[in-house]
Amino acid sequence: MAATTAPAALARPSVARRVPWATIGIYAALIFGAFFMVMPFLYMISMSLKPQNQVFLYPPRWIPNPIVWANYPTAAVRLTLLAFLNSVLFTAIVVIGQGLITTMGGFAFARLKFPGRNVIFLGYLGTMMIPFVVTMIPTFVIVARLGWQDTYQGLIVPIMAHGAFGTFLFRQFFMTIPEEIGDAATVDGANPLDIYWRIYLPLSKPAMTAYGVITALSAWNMYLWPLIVIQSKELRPLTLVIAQFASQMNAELHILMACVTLSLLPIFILYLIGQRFFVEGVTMSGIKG
Amino acid sequence: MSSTLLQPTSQPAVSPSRPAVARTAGRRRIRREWLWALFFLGPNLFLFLSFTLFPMLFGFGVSFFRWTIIEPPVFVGLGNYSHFFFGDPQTPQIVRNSLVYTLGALPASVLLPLGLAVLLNSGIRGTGFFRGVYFLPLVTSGVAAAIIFKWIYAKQAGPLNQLVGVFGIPRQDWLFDEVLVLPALILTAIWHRIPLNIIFYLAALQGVDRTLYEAARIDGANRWQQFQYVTWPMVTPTTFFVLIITTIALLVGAFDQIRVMTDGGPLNASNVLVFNIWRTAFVNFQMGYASAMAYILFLVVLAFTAVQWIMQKRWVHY
Repeated sequence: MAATTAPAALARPSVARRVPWATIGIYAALIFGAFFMVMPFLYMISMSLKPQNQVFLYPPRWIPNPIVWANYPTAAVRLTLLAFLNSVLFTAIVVIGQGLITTMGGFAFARLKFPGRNVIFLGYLGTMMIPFVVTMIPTFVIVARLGWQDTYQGLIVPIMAHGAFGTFLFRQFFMTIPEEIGDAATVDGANPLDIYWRIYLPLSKPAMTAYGVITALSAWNMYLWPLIVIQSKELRPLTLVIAQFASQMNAELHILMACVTLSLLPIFILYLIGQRFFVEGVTMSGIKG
Repeated sequence: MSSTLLQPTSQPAVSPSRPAVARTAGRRRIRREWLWALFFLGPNLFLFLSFTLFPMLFGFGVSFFRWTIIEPPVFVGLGNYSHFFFGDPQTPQIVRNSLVYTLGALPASVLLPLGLAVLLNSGIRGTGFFRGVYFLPLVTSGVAAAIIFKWIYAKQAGPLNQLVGVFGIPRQDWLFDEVLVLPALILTAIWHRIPLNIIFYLAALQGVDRTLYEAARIDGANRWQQFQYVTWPMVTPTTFFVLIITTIALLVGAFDQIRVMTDGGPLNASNVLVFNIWRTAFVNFQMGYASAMAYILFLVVLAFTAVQWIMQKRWVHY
């Protein structure tokens, strides 16, 4: 110990001189970047709390005075509970329905033997890169032919059907579960449905969380497909409603921004509670972009 | 469930002297497995065929017709494709806009997240807070982001004009100026893309062997040299992955933003391919022409992927 103290003591001053500068630099860069990232949200919230007569003030006053909380009830009434429920319904059915078919499909690809298994799986893989704009027009034609235009099923089913990515994700995850567990259950008299439901699903919580987070996020935020398929006011999800407001409510910017804040609130709360799951889910879903 | 009738799989071992029975049982087992596969994969496969594979082929077919949905389709051969390349006066501008938008947003969308991920990974205090802040745009819908930025760019009371005013630049009408509209949209696209790419880089950085940095430090490398000779080579595979998916996301994902902020204007100055496909199909009802453009975009996406994969083989240090 005594032998090493001397050189360490000699080295310390230079370290002590250098380290704070690096740390200060890192903080400065991070704070500058963070300002750029949150500024739009601060603007949104600031605007949503302004009285009508301060909305177009120049230069903008960032801290509204007085703060008008009443903009939020007004915004909630404009948005309507129905639009909120439409978004919740759409997201929930897509996540649960697609979750069911993709875990089942992934199980079949990972654990069941049937003719053409690898060829069919390659077909799924090959279509994962296809952007939605490519299938959007024919999908609309199909939905119109089915008489599903401007209906919940027209909105939900085609999106629920986009299970190639989920099927791939679950197939990969199920492959990591030792086959012997299933074999042992088979010897004990379990059929594939038991193995799927009682062994594979309970073991795949990480994959399900990842899948759930990214599917819910993309469904909640989806705009293009609802825009194409929905016309009735009663069927619109939140994205469609606020996009419409954005072109109509130019004179009531404060209410518009309160509407946007409310539309973001549910997913922001979920994000704050389960940030880790969002990050993990997104990392796992790299391929989906 | 314990019925042996349903479980012939365990039987052959018990009766090895009767191979014929075993073979029948085996065949029955395969047949039953096939039925189970149908049960598990059936709904998935049905929806996949109906809403992915069939639309793919159907859309390709539609691209050879002139079709307004109301009137019956008319076969035009390659007419829609040749119209896009040689006939449509809008094409040069749309292609140029798409290139400017994608290539303009790409460098910052890749390099800023790399830098920020390195900073977030440096182990300083408060990292959790900064991550929380940086990832917020990730959970923000394209529509919400577009509405907010539309007003940030507003001429009269927009904060951007307040900011540039500090530098003595007069107020601009960002979204209604043919020159400024694409840079404004690019800035929003970068803002929206940063969190996802930070997450990819953070995952990559956490996979870099710590001992490499120690070795570099012992050799006297400063922070920048450590980045240059350790971090950068080690994350090159991620950089190429991020380049590929960001390019594709910018090419096909610009719709929400453009529809809400500019509607392709002013005078087509922000009309990119993906927006024009939607407008051609659902405003002008030219389904055939829109389908042809969708397939052209698809080929562009494939080409970008291919080029970057080839470059990846040459540049990546594993």
